[in-house]
Amino acid sequence: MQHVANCEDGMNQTLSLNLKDLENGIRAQIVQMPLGESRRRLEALGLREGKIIEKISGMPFHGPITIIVDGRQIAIGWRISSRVMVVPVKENCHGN
Amino acid sequence: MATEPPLTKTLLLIGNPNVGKSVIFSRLTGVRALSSNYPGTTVGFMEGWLRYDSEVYRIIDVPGAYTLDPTNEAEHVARRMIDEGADLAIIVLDATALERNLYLAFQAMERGIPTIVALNMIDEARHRGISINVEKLEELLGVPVVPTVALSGQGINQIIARIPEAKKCNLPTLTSEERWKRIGSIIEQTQKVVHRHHTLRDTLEDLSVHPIWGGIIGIFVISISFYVIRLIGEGLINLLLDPLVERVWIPLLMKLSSLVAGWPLVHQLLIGTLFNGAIDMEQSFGLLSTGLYVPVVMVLPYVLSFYLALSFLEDVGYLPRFAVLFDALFHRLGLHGYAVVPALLGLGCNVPGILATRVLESDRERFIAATLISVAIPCAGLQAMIVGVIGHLGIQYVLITYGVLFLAWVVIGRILHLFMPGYSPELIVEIPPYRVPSARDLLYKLWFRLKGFFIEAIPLVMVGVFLVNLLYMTGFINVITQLLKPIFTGLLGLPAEAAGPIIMGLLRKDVAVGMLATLNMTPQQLVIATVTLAMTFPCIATFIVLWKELGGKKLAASLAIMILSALTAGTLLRLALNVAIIS
Repeated sequence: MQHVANCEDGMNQTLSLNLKDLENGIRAQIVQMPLGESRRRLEALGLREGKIIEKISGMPFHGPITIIVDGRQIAIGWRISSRVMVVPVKENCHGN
Repeated sequence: MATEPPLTKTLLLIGNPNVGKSVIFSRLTGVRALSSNYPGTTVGFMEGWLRYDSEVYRIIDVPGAYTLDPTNEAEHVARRMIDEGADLAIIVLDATALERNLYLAFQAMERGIPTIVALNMIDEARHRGISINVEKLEELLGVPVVPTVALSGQGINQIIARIPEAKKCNLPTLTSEERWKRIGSIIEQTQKVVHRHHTLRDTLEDLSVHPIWGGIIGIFVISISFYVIRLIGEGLINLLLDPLVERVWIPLLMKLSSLVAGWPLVHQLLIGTLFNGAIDMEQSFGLLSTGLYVPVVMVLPYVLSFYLALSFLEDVGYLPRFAVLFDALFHRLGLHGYAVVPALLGLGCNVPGILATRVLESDRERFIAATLISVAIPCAGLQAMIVGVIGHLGIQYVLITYGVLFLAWVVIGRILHLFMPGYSPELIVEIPPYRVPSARDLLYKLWFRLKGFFIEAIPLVMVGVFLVNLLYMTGFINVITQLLKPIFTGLLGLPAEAAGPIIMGLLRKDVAVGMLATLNMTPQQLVIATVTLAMTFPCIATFIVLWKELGGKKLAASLAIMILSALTAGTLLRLALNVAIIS
């Protein structure tokens, strides 16, 4: 069982985990983004701290992680996804 | 050509990839552009003209970009174009992903070009339970906002009519944080999202990137594609083109043959060698026999069926799913899954494949991707000939040829990845929703790609056949053959005459395979020669585009890799197939 946060403590980083370790089908709030070039590329696709995402799947052999942000699927390489920290949230939480 | 009026205004068409920008472009200009579901296929740019109300606008289709802080070559180009300034900009937004799209819009508007916003795919947004208050959006952005459905043409006239209302918005240059803050507030005031149930399409989209189901769907898509490509290609050849050649063209050529019988030189050039008094379309090697037969009958049907299948997958939006499926493999070759798209395009023709490597982020990736395409991805012309010529000898030889090329692709990629300095960026890619393709756009795109084949390939084949005849008539071919004999005979176990066709490969590789077929080699030798031909020096068109994309120094490195790996693969294959040394 993964910890499920309320919307209010979504920014609590002590409960955060890697995007790649998030279970499929779970919604979560982004609490920390990688730095530098990767951040710019992710941000351009609408990912940033505070965003609510849902994980769809992760591919085997260190393949990419697919998530949904704002109703749109985005695939993220395994290594970057290990530098995106998220906190699972309740079903009805919408964040910003 | 029409003369250009002195007062032409420049209009930039700006937007994220995959928002229907190219379709709006073609609606505005009447000139069709490539439009597709996959981010990145409009790298490079199109321009067209719009006449309205005694004004003439030069419309530039800026490459799709997510941000003007460039993350790849296409975005660099986009930024350069926008920084150069223009009289007007139409910013195309995807109404189903408004928030993210507004980021680029803000960056563009901060640069002070008078702007109109096209809120595209408004119908799709409604289907998804997204409602947008257009008046409010217009008020908050301070520029005209026109809802559009580019595919059906809805809203295009309103855009044109409101061009005079285009306004500069007096935005200061914002930091990305400030930008997102403003966008957040605009979204809050203008957009309502009603949550709706998972549709069948959503389920299919989720399954397509599932570790197991995604793989099954991928294998299914590839198998069906191959089946359809073969079905259409073979159907066109066997049912339409071959009978036509047999009943119409050959009788005509035979008449011509007796007409020019008195001029052996002309006969040789136009019709070529007769075999037992008859024309062999594959082997006679005249301009009007083999010169036409290879490109039009043997290659064109496969080029057509290949591009039909690829364009369909592109427009449906499947290709980015391939990127997810293949990412882990590509990663081990110093690339990421995105590189599957240039590779697939390369299977049609290496030139667009290499051009498409511009969507990759780093120079290192572009070098690896372009080299791999050039060395190990056979274009449709080459493949049609591999299947057509080697296929006669047995399916196992076709499989060996493809297997060796694939192996070479993996091994060379792996070696480059291990020994080239630098690192390759990770996959970060938007996966657009599945869409029902528009038959009209599909056919236009197909036409666009076939036109390229007609204009470039057929004349090159003709020139090639002409030069081959010249080489043989002047005896110059003997000099080359003697010069390269040690390599071909000693190393590869091929007859020295195989040098001729491989030199021909500098122009067109499909014709070169046709020439190899005339040499009476064993099937094993034919496979070795074909693999060597496929991997070595690129054809002239690929060479030029590699030069443009990589520059002289890297081109030299790339060529060295190609020649070295072609000889290595050829020699190893010879040892594996145990071909006796021919002296």
